[in-house]
Amino acid sequence: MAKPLRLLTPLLRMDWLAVLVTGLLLLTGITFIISAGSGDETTQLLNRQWVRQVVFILIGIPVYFGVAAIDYRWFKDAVGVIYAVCVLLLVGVLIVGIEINGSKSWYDLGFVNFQPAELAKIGLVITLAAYLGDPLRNTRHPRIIVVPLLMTGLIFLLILQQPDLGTAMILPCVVMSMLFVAGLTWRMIGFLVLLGAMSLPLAWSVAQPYQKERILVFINPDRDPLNTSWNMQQSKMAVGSGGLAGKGIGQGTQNILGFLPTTVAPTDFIFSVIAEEKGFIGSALVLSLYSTLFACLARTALRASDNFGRLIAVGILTMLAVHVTINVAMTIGLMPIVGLPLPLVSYGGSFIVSMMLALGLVQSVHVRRT
Amino acid sequence: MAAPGKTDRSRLRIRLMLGILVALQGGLMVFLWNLQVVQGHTFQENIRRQSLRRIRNPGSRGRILDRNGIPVADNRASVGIALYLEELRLPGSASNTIDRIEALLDEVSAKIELPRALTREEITTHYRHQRLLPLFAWQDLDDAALARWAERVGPRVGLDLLTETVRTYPYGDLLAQTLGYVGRGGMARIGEETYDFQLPELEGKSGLELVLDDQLRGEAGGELVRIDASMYRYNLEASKESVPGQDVKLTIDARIQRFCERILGDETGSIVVMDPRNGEVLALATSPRYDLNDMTPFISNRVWDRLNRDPRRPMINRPVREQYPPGSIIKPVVCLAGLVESDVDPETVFNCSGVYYPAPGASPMHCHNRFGHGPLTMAEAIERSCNVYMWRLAEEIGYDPIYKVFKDLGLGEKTGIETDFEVSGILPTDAWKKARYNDRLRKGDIANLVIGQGFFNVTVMQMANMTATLANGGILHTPTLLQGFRASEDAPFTASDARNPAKDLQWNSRHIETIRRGMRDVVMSPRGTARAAQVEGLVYGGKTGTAQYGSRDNRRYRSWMIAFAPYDNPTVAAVVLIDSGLGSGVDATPRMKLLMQALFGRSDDG
Repeated sequence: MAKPLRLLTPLLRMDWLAVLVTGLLLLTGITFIISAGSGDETTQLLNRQWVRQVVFILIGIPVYFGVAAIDYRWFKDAVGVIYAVCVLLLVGVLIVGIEINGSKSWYDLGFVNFQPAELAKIGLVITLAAYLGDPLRNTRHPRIIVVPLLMTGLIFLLILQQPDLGTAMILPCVVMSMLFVAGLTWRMIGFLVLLGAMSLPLAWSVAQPYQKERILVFINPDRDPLNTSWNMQQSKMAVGSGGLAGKGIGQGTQNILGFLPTTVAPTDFIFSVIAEEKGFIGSALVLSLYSTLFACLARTALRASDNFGRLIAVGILTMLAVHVTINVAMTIGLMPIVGLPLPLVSYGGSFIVSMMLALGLVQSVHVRRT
Repeated sequence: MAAPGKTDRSRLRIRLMLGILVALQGGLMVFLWNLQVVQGHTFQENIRRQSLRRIRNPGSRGRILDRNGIPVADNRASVGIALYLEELRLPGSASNTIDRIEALLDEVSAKIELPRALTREEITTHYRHQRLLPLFAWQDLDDAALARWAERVGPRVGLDLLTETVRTYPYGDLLAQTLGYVGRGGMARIGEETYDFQLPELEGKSGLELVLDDQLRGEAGGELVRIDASMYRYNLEASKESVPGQDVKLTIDARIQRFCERILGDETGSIVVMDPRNGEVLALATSPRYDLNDMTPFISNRVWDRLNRDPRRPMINRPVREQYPPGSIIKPVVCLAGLVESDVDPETVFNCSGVYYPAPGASPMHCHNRFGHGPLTMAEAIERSCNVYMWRLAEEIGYDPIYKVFKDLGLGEKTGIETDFEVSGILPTDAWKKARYNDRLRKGDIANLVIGQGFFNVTVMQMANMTATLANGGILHTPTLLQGFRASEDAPFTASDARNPAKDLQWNSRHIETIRRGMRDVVMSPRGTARAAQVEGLVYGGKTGTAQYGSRDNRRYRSWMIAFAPYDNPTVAAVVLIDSGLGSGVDATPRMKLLMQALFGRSDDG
């Protein structure tokens, strides 16, 4: 076979439904970032948020297809390096990182701020998959949890140091689901759930005052209606007033009137903009797109040619699903505000690229399915 | 190789997991259905005409009162007309909305008969960055404009009256540099969320307004108000009380302060009046000054240029920020050093021939009396302000005891008064001169120093505190401007405990009496240098001083007088400094006389 064709074969074997759904979600994001940013037509073209979002998607596309073309099994031999780089990046950001809204989570790369925790989540998934996916390992033995918990714990603590509670919270879910799929006994799963529940009071005691405040406000919204619960109230009102069909793109009054502050509307609260402007139909459609994507990722996991690939798909699936569920639950007032973006849709440069990298990795598993 | 069962279990569990995740999304959809479709109309009702206004109320700023309760910095309500831009928003591009706002402003402008104060640019900027905040279209309306508003316009969508608090200084330039002024503060305060819009509030920019900003500043509260379509019925959704700032009571007596400022007149200079019994500052006057009401809420370019271009630098708080050679007013302290540190007999006589050679072969130094004062005791030397006596005394005792007493009196260090920008003056030492000129202090330097010339520099505030310490017999207080704070109108003032305790310098009462007697004779004796400052019916002590500066053809004099009164049980210590005058006889002394007359005179009023 000719060489160019050999390079094309992986493309043909990709999961094109997942590609389609991913593309639709990205387009949805751009549309509503434009809507949320209406009123900034005087800003320079290149500084507008939707333009920046398009630029990052354009960077993300070759990353997505490039990673899909690479054989994911190649990463198995490099897990030590991958994990070490993740830890180094997370340690480095605590030293030379820049602080935004009280969290030292970003490297300033000039044109964009890069958040190493996004990369570390993917790195951790690969590392855990390599460890748990080793066919010689007995995943029924209780001892199996020790190394994954230590590997996750280190990264968890480093991210908590920034502090970025939202991102850190994803990690326990990821390690749990990967252990679950790897075949951990139900007894050990019960034990881990119990351990998690018991650590909650500990988490409360180390939480920052503003985090406690958010949780207290969630329980009792009248506690501080002018500040902390403002976004939650306004977001809920935006979602509720959307009705069945919504007010139309660019017509959401909560959004355009600035009741939903313009700093959060295109990022963490993009879902409430969608829900207000496209109503229940729009929000249900977005959730259906995500469900479809979840199903695609699960299908890849089911058909993966080895445990390593299977667990990668499961880890990425969990990461994505937890992000989506927490973000939506928070915008509609079902959860305290934790500041997690909606994957593929929210405005945010490094998060878009790292999400596309993660999905590309799952495509790589899909291409090499049995 | 693991059993095939392992893979089967994995597959089963993946399916289970997917089921849970999809069920979760389903749950969210059910919740959304309930929120958006079932309850949707209630939210739409609430949101109709986007009628929530969030109003942030800065806590009112504490007032500053003089020792008798006269307010010297106060607040006043000012009513303006404010735009609520988010209520005026039109769909489509921002310029539609700006056009609408401009049309509205033009219409209202005609009806209330006031010219438009906002430019399109200002509206656009506010619209883009602070949309949730009211934007003042007109500020500080008078009654006539308010009447026209009520009659012809009235509250409507996006436009309403808004009251704000403005800082006023009832006496204009009284105590100006010390009080300082306020300006519009920054937007974000620590502890509030960064994307939380808020009204800027008053913030101390200089002087006590800046130094005491934490106490004076209140804590902001706010209201969440829902307004119905008629714009008349307000429904308070939520509110948080603002906490007013604390009132400050000063030790300053506004009447004495005003009197001092008046007798300074147009001269450049300072007057400080203290109570030697407790270190409280009764007056801290300086000239020239500026009107504090010109400085707030913002300083116009015109005022700023005028103040900065003035060669006499009216912005400077001279008594604490400028340092000068003290001249002859330091002589009583040099004598005191001889008594308390070296046990010199005050009756020892030094002969003044009018000239003195600091070292063999050095160029001669002269007394101001060219023909010499003749033989003088210590009290006489103070009374006549003889230079040669000081030089001979210094030669006798050396620099160390003099330095020790200067240091004890706080010279060369900040006094610790609560103003900003206090300077420490210069008390020369070998180390100081080494660092500055790579040399040690020489005999000539010390000879200059003991007559208050040369490298030696002091502030007027330091001299006031020194005089107070001579007056009270050796108790060094930290001078203070603050009597206390109160949290509310009906609470009592409580003193702040931040002040350093007084220090007893342990002077022998016989020694200090000698000095005080010498200073009394300066004023009361027919040969005293300050006899022109005598006030009928008052016995008091003082010392004058003059320093020349400037080139030969433009010779100027800096003229000092320190005084404490009454001689027995002093209740006042004062310093007058005229920075650029013709000699102490014409500058400082008559002003001290006026001050003492005002404070203690029988016929004159206070």
